[in-house]
Amino acid sequence: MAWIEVQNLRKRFGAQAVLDGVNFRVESGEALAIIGRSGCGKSVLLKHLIGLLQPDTGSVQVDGENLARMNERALLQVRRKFGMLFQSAALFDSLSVAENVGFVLLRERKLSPPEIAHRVAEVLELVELGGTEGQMPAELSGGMKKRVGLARALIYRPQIVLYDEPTTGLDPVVSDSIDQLIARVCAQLKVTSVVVTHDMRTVRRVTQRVLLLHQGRIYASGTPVEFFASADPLVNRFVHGIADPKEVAL
Amino acid sequence: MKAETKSWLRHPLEGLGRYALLCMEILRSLLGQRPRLPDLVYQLYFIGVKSQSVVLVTGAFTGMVLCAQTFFQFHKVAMDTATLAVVSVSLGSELGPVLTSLMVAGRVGAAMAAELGTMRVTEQIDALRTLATHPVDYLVVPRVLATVIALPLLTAEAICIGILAAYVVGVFLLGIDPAYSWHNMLRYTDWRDILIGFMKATIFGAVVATVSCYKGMNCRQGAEGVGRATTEAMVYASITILMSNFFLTMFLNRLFYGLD
Repeated sequence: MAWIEVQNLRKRFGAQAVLDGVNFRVESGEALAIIGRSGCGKSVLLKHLIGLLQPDTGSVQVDGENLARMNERALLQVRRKFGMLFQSAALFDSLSVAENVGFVLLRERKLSPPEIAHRVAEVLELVELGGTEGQMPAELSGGMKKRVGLARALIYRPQIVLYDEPTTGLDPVVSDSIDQLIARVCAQLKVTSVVVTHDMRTVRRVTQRVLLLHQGRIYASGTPVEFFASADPLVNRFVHGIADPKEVAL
Repeated sequence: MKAETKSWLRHPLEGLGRYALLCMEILRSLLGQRPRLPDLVYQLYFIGVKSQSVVLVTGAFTGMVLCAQTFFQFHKVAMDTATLAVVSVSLGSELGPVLTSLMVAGRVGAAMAAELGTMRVTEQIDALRTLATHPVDYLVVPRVLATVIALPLLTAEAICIGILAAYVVGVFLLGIDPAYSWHNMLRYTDWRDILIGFMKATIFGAVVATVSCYKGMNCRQGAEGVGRATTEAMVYASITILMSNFFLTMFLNRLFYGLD
């Protein structure tokens, strides 16, 4: 059964049509990559999956519920199934690492403070940041921030994790460690994953299926192996990072 | 030209609509759940305790100036001992709440808009939403409640220090008779003047917090967006206070003193 089903999704910002009839499904337990050039609407699409943006037309069904018809308070309940890692990590800069990671548990007040501290330490160990509980986000490097962001997304054991450009702005070594971490999270926790990226190494190492977003639509779909072997000029250029000769001439 | 006119009309109307929706969401949150005490206490500290120096200086010097000006006019008609009564009524029902609210709008409103605006442009508000937390519950309601509680208390402080400063200036600097002045002040200051002042301060508190939170939550991207939201929060809150003060004065005086 499809965990997420996107049907004929359209979104405009002013005169610009960012998404122009997007259709795809995400199956339970799979790791899906959405790739595309900068500014093509990947992050906009990802935000629709969790209800941070509402479509102009079309629908986003999550576990059988249509997000497009829900108000913000109803969406809060659906979002408990999700964890999301933001491009900038989006840590709360006035809270410590422990307070960031344990945010949801601290707000719910269902667990005692020692139990929350234990869960925070456990999930920080998972992202290899044990012992950083007392640090503030400003004291962390870019890679560490992403790990804390992921720990925050994982602490309440979501069924699906969304990654918005997880390796953007990181050096190759740190990017590699983040890729390994995402792959480990997918394998260990058996969560459904949707990764928005333009880093083909992340695609190859982490995901099982790839969608290429181009001009507001899904242009191509397939496995990473099929994408790397594709003879389609657009797919080929994107996968191998080759600029369009027409654009170079301009 | 037609399109320009439409957008000239549409943007303010859209803004008013979004502001009304935010106010409705605040009410829904207040009715639906109890805000967390630590969040409220922190905001009370930031808005109430940290604003005291500004408010006390404002109250003191306003009282002193008002006393001196009133005395210079009243002295011409030998009504020196009515000076403190004028100061008390003016501070209690008008200058106390208005000036305190304007100072709080400048200090706290701008800070609220900047903080929420920065959270918005760095996706922290989106992060809150993904963590199943309504931004209005977590960010807006504690600020609105704290401002609504703190502003009447700050106003009371400003009125008290203003009257005290006026008494010192009037008695020790201008030589007004202390006993008659004090007696006239108590005689001509009605409890309704003070109640009107506190009611205004409560309403202005809600105005400062909701306008500032609205501007912060809806700010545009980038540093320019945050800067603009901060300025607009202060300007719009101040203008709303000054304009609504007139209508509140008319309404509350008719309500408490009758139509005559």
